[in-house]
Amino acid sequence: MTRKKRIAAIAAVGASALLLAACGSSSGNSTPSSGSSQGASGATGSAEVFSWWTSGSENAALQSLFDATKTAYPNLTLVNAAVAGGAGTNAQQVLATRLAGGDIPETWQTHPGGALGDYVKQGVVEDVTSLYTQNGWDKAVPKSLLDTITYDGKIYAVLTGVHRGNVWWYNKKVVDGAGVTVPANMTFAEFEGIAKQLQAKNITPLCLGDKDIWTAAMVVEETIVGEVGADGWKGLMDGSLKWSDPKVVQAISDAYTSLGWAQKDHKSQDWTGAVASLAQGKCAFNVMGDWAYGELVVKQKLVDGTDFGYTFLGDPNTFVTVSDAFVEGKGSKNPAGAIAFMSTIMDKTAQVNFAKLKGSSPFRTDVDPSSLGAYQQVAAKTLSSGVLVASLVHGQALVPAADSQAFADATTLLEAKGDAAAFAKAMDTAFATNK
Amino acid sequence: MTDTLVAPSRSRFRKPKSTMSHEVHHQAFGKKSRRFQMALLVILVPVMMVPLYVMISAAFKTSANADVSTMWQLPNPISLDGITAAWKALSPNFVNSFEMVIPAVVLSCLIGSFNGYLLSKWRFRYDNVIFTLMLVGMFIPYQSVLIPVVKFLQLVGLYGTIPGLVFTHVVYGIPITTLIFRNYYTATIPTALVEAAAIDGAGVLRTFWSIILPLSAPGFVVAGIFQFTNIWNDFLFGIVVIPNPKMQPVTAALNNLSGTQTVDWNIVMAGALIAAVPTLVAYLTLGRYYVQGLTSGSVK
Amino acid sequence: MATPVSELDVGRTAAPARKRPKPRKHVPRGLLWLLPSFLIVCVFVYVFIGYTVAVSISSNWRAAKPDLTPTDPWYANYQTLANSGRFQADVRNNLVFAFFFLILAVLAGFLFAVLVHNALRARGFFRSVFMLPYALSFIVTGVVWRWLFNPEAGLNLILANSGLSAAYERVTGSPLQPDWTSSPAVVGDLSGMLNKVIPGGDFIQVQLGIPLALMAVVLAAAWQLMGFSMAMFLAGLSSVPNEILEAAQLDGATGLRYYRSIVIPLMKPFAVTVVVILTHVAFKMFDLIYAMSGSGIGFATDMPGIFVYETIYKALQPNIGAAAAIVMLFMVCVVVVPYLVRTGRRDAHD
Repeated sequence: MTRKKRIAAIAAVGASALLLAACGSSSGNSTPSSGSSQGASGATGSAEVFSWWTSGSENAALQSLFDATKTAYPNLTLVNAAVAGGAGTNAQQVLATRLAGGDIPETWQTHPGGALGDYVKQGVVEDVTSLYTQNGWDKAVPKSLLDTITYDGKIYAVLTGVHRGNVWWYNKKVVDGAGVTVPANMTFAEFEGIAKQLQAKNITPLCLGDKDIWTAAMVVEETIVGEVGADGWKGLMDGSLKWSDPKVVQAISDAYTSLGWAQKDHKSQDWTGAVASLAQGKCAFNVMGDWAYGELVVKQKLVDGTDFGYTFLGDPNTFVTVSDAFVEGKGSKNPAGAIAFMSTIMDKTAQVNFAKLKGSSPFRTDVDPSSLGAYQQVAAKTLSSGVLVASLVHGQALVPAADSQAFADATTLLEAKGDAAAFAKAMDTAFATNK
Repeated sequence: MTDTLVAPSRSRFRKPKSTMSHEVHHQAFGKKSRRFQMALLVILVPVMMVPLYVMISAAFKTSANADVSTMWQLPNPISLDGITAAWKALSPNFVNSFEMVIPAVVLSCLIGSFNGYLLSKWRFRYDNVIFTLMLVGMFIPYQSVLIPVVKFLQLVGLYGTIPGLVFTHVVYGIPITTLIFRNYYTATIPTALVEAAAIDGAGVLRTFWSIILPLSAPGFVVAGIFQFTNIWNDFLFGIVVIPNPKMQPVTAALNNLSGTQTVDWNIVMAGALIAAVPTLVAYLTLGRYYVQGLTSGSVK
Repeated sequence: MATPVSELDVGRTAAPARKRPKPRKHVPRGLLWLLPSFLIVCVFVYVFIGYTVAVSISSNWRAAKPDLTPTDPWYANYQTLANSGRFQADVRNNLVFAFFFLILAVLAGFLFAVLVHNALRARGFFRSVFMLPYALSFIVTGVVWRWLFNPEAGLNLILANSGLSAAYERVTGSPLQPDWTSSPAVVGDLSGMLNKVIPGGDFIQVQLGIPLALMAVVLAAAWQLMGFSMAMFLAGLSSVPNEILEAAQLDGATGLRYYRSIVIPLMKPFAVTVVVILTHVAFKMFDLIYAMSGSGIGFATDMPGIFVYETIYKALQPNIGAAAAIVMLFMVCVVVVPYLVRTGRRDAHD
């Protein structure tokens, strides 16, 4: 055989191997959506819902939305494309390739604030202001929350529910057993006093699970919010208040003190482990958003009021928001499907059902919360009547996502070195450079 | 390398009884040393298995018991919840993984062995540079090449398909399989062998097919083990190249077992064990081929 | 440099006269057959790396808006990296981790390979048992090691209950309860020295020593990867021709000397392969550490892989992430290329 023929033969063999692999596998389609775009009420075909809610209560809550959509739009099939991990970072990784490649999902999960702003800048999400005005949603939700999903006067997302970030949970039995009284809300000085009393009885004051640094960052953030107040926090976010302001530095330093009260194995635990430690009475307090409520009640089977309680640092009416948003992808195959799903999210019944399963407060403040648990009713009330500030740790604030990352990195260094001034300096630099 | 295969006849010495390589090694040691080696092996087994014990016992516990605080305790009661839930979540994706892994491993090992043979036996000017270039590029973190890869696959219509994933794994497997085989052939196949074949008139391909391949078994074992493990456990390309969850490999389903809220560790651990079974079977199957090639006696 | 004579072009001179006369300049056959693979790698690796470099000097590149306008100055992103305490820690960690991990994984793999290979019975069983860790997903073993390294409930519990900790205490005065990945300690610190050598060297924000927490990570990673190392050395031990071994034995080499003078030198090519591959694994280590300890106290266990992932997909700064990826690649080239060139050149002279 001549050399050329040999080369051709090899190429043929190689190609047929690949072909065999192709034929052997089921014919793969990239995305299954093939929908037509009629009005949302007659939405048909399929639509892809891209999220990171893959297990447990999150998945149950997502399924409730799927079921509600199925009831309202029987001809629409929703495809659940979820990727877990990294609190959405894995999903972000996949989404980036899809956006770059033009394979846009109908709707996907994101956070209001920096992450949403990034999508708006890239021009990959649709303006849904008309949905709000047509359905009157803009009157049914807290204005300050609406602002976090509004850019240039246009609204770009719907929220599934709102969690509260700044809650100090505590094990009632442990605390009562030590003869300590916990007020309904406390100053840091009071908290420090409580901690010292607990330490005198050999009780670890703080349950912390910061293998993922965001839990420690939450301690820092909620302490700052508690000490400088809602206005102070808003000032920090919009740049009118500098992080190196003495009040803020003091709060950072106090947060560092709190971190020092953590149990020995905090670096090997994730947040669920810390909640478990709280439930088992190994430590007294846990600073966590109210997604911990579901963990305490459902997984650890504790009773609100008997086994555990909660309090707040600073003004109890200051509500740090942590919420999840869904957007309408621009250039997807079935925009009507996306609109259908988003409309379902905002449906009053769906909102309440979602809240029941996820443990968050409904985004709409005009729903009837009486079927929700006791804690949730209180939270929902604070949501509608309190002062709302967006969490930086969870990327909810209207600042670039890089600032949230800077906050997390600064917390890592704070934990190791305890230098509050350096923390403040790093944050001022970050806010100045990241635009 | 060594051309010392032309060993003089040693008939005046007592020849070792067997010709199995491990038996030859074995005879280099006295009895006491051999017993010590065996004892060491036996001790090492439980030491190495400590993390596995934790994993297996967690897999058979109930969700409430599968926790860090009870990690050392035996499952009590023994529960199959983890295994059943994990199997339910993972089984639809097993087929995808198999359809992806087998062609990918076979193709990348074949290509790697051919390249390794070329680089070790058909030397040319600057071949070392070319080899280094092929090898070094793969050190780039794959996170940075995700988008170009997806764009390319979309261009050729392979995006979202299993052949597309196979193609990706084959391409990124070429450098390492080439490395494995090149060093393997340099160490074990004497150049004289190929020279002899060339003198007999065999060309590049023919020599590869009839002489090199039959002697490559241990090389294929190592390359096969590496590629199978790598490709089976790959997560990044699996979720990026194939966005449809139903077509994704098993690693994507395994990852989805742990969400951001409550994690059932018994299910996660059981899932990891189930997902590891095919790889282990691959090791068992390939391990049989740790047989020395037919070098001895084939060179006159 | 004289044209290296490829011994394998023997066919050209010794072949029967049926071959047509060759043109003066010919493409070596090895190169020809290698070209397809080489070209594919060039595209999928180097072209894509080129694109990554372009992204790394851009100021505003986003996935759906690929704007490649460079920053001003062009190296601005790299400057940000150099001044980032976290990235400095990552570079330190990467080097320290790779060094200790390689030593442990290669040595342990070789030792296990020798033991398994020499065993006359149950070789398959031992081999499978030691390879089992390698088959497991990194994400889940990361969680298992996180449990094991829990300073209260993990390995420390076993050390305490087995009496080992108490025995250790009797000897040294403090119990054997290491902090594992929770350890904030950094052993040895060269930053002071570095300040004197590099002008303006005080931009280094981290201690340039060995984070003890990272040593725990080395242990976990070596546990998982030595199965592969063992597999490689098993191949090596099985494929050395028997005649060499028997001849050596008949010449009187036994026991350790047999290994030192005969077997180990023959394992060199296999060791080279293992080292290169495990270096590749070490530099890209991500899932295991992410699940085990995250970034650690003061970034003691942070790795460039984690940094790239978080910078691109959490901080939404793909240009800085791309710059970090390029720096990682550069670091590897600096180490691996001379090594490969040196070992490759030696082969060429065989």
